[in-house]
Amino acid sequence: MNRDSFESRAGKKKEELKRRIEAGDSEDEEDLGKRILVIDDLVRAERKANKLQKPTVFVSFAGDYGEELHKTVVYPAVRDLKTETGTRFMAENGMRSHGRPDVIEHIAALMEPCCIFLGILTREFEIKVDHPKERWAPGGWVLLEAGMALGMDLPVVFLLEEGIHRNFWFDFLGSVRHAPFDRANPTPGLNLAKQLILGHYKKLKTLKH
Amino acid sequence: MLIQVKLQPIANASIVVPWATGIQELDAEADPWLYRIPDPKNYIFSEFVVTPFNISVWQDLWSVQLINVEQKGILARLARFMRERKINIVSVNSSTIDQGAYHASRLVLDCTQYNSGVDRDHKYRSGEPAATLGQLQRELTLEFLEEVRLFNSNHPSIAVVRNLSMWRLYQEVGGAEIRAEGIRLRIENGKVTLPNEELRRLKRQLARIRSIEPPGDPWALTSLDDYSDAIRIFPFFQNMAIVPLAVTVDNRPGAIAAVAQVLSTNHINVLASKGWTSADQQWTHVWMLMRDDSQEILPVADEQVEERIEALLLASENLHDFDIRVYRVALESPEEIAR
Repeated sequence: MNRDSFESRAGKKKEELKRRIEAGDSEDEEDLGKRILVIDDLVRAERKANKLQKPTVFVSFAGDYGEELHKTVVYPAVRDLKTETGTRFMAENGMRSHGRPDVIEHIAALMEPCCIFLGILTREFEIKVDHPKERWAPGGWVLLEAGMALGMDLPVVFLLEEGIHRNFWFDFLGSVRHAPFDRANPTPGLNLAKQLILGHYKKLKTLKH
Repeated sequence: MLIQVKLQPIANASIVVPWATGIQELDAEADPWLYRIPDPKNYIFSEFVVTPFNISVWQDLWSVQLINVEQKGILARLARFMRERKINIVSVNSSTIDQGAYHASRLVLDCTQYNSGVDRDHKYRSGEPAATLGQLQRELTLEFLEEVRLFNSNHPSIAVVRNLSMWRLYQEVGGAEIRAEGIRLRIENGKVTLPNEELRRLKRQLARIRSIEPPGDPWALTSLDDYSDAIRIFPFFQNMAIVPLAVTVDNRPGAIAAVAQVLSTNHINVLASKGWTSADQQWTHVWMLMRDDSQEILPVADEQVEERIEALLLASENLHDFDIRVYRVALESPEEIAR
């Protein structure tokens, strides 16, 4: 069966219905409008389903240590993950967007095909707070990209270096389990992050798509 | 879902086949299959299933439910749509509705040859209880976008649903154990009859478990699963501590709950039940097929069982001010319950 992609056919149908509404014939415009919304729902669902076929994790990091951790440890660990059929997970990040005038749009475009977000929160800036242990702020980009991921309905996992103040993550994602790690030995935290990613993936698979 | 529970003889007796057309010439060409279902604990036969679907498709059987505007060509387009995807339509039920404005269809599909990137293949779906045909449903919705009935944009009247009953049955009995046991039956006047050889085999197998051949002919609890087009037949004999009783009680809140509690407390398992309210709304009648797991209340061949059950119920605190009667449903001739 050789046919245009689903999105292409859906797009053509949508344009056709729009033209008919604009033509102002005797057709029921409200009904046509509802059917256009149905098309939008179908396309969203199709995109979501396709994401799970070749699952990609968007990995966000900041700072020199964050970059090093991503390159040497996190990226290989994500690539090592596999689905139940043996398909390897892919990893994406927004670092190529830096310096572009349309940086946010570019990051969004890279994030859109991903199904899970992994943010590496590392100690970037020491802050003045009255707390015995949590005295650090992470890089801003990770928080921004986490916000974008939440807006796209991606499940979020934080790989959270010990010492990051909770103001930077707990208030909006404290109810979700995260993976704390110690810079001296990040492996246990990374292993937990992998489990959380796989758990989110399995949950996404069981949701209707 | 199992509904339309009935208690009926199955020796030299016929069972109504709900999916029969009622036209003998057509029904003679139909495919009702009889399968013996072994008990997964010991693989000795324990019940029958009659279904229009051969076991070869049970693992990948789905139904499409569609309501569309009444217009020509929909069925042809549906058939073409399925053919393009190598999906075999094994059953169709459709009718015009709403004064001819709409048409409701239910198609049962054999998807064993259907593959897609998102819906995967038969091998995957056979082993995965949570498998869906989401992509097929989206494609179907797009294909019939303008014809499908739309109550609101969130709910186009189209659904693709798995026949989980048959899938589960296949998984539970291991497929191979029942594969060779399928027997073609013949529909006569909308009914099928179980072959006598099958009932003799049943008796022999039960004799192996109990070391004594069951007396008389079997009765059976038949349950129609209209969702999956299957009739489940649970046979039993009169020496199996399984008794059909009817309970009549005032039609007041809490009555049935209290009856059920008493039975449960006394280790009486209700295998099946059917209840209704009398025409004058005064009484609730419940027919129950009971099995005594302790063998103390309903010992074999006991003729005072209804009196014993009635005494148990009346002794209950929660039922002391209810009017209760317990009747034995004679297997020789089913009795109408009357007060």
